Amino acid sequence: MSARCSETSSVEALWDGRLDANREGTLRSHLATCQVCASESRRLEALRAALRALPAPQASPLAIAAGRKLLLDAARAAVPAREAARGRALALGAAALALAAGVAFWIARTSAYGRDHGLAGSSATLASAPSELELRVTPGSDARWSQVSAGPSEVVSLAAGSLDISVNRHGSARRLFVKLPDGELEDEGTVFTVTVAREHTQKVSVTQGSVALRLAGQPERHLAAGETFEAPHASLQAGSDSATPAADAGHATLRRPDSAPGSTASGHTVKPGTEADACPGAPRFEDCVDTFKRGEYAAAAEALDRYTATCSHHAEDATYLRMVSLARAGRTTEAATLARAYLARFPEGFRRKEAERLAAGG
Amino acid sequence: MVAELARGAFAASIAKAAFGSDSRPNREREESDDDARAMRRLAQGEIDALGELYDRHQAAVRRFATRMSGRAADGDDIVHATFLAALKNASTFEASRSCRAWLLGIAAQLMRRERTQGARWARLLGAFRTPEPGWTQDPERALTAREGLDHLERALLRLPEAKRVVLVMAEIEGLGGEEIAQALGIPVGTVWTRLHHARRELARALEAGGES
Repeated sequence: MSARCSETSSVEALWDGRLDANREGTLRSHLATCQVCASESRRLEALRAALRALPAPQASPLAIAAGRKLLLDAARAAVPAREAARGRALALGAAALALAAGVAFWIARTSAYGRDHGLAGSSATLASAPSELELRVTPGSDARWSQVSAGPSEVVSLAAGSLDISVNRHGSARRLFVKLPDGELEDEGTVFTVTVAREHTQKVSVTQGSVALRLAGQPERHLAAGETFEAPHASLQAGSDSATPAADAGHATLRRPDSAPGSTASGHTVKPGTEADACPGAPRFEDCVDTFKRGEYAAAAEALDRYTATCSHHAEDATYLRMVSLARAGRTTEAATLARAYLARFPEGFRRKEAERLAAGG
Repeated sequence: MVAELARGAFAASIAKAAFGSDSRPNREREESDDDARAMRRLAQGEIDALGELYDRHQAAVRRFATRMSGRAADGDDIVHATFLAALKNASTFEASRSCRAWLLGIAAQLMRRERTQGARWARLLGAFRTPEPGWTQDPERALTAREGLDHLERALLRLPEAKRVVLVMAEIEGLGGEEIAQALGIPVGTVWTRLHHARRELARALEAGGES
């Protein structure tokens, strides 16, 4: 039978600093004479010591310094953005008058870019000069919309109506999102028009560049220049703004560049996310992945090079796989260069840590 | 097992951890004034203040993230996100509070949110993840002398998160009950209860491991 003491249960409270001075003094005296309580105290000591002895993550001084720079770059990118947003809010009344007069509302701002986990950041290896994102939003007369800067991103929210949007990146890595009632659209260097009605995206027409369209419950679509997305029954829902008749019920319509504007003959119906993913002349992304999986890294790098040169789909994944392929093929300099390009293009990319390491020659 | 861990290399740590001899409170008091000043400057948009806070607390946030997740690779991301969240919320910081506890509370929230938001991070191209260098691959971990710590680490990660976060904040980060309560937004009584049970469960797990 083990010995017991009525004070043992208070030892933990003493250890945690929960006792007043008098009680603490009494218990300390007691500890000097009671083996049971002293043992409990030693047990608590040992547990803390063991926990504090667990191997701590040892970031190198270089990594800490790089992290610090990333952080401060991101912070500096975020703070001017917030100030700019406040400034724009004050100007909103004047802008509304301009909009009523049908005058395009120009927003041009300068910022460093970064990543953010919802916040912001950039790579220490990319200490780029501030770059400019030029955003031109021309709303239709029925548009209900707003625009804010959020960390590394510009966010246009469209509740209803149409917006013509033109983006000139001037090398900026800032991202542009159009928030839609049923999803979002991300610009990839673009001139495009988006229409919303009855809480649903009705139409997206891309004139230059490409956009990624992500609607709730549907796979991501990439629309290139000349392509148009139309929701089922878009012409009925969007009224006269939609020039193309409705597609089959349940399917979106994707019109290819060879579709004459307004033509109904060449418009065709596709299941979302299938035909839109095909890139003529490019190897299939799945084949590139298979090559990588087989360990044929040089061949995978070449295939992915051809893929990314032709096709904008899976851009982040393809770029990442290509940099890893290059690294594993021993082409570390090329891998580092590509890693830096990855970090510039995808500051919030899922593989940024690996990219940062490869960019540093790791 | 606990007693074994306490011997040898831990003797010095134990001595320092004895009642009244821990220098942490004094050091933290000295830091708290600097932190409060830095937070005020940060709230006014002075980004350099964020660098000061990073210099003082990044190691604690990194350590906390690792202890909570068991993955050293998470450290950089959590540190980055935590300090940026601090920037965004600088104006809400109360000078009377511990900045480090506040940061660890943010980190805990971020980690909880990231976990509940799904496995996208892990899923995306996870099969192609490049091996990560660093302490997790430390060859010493394979040595017998480290087995106890490995076991402790595993036992810690098996604790329910609500208890683990309190235990890590209290025992590893040295935060007081009030600080933990504020950081996590829970009553201080709940802190003590969770801490007590966490210690008991951890001790039981270690004893069971030591016998096996």
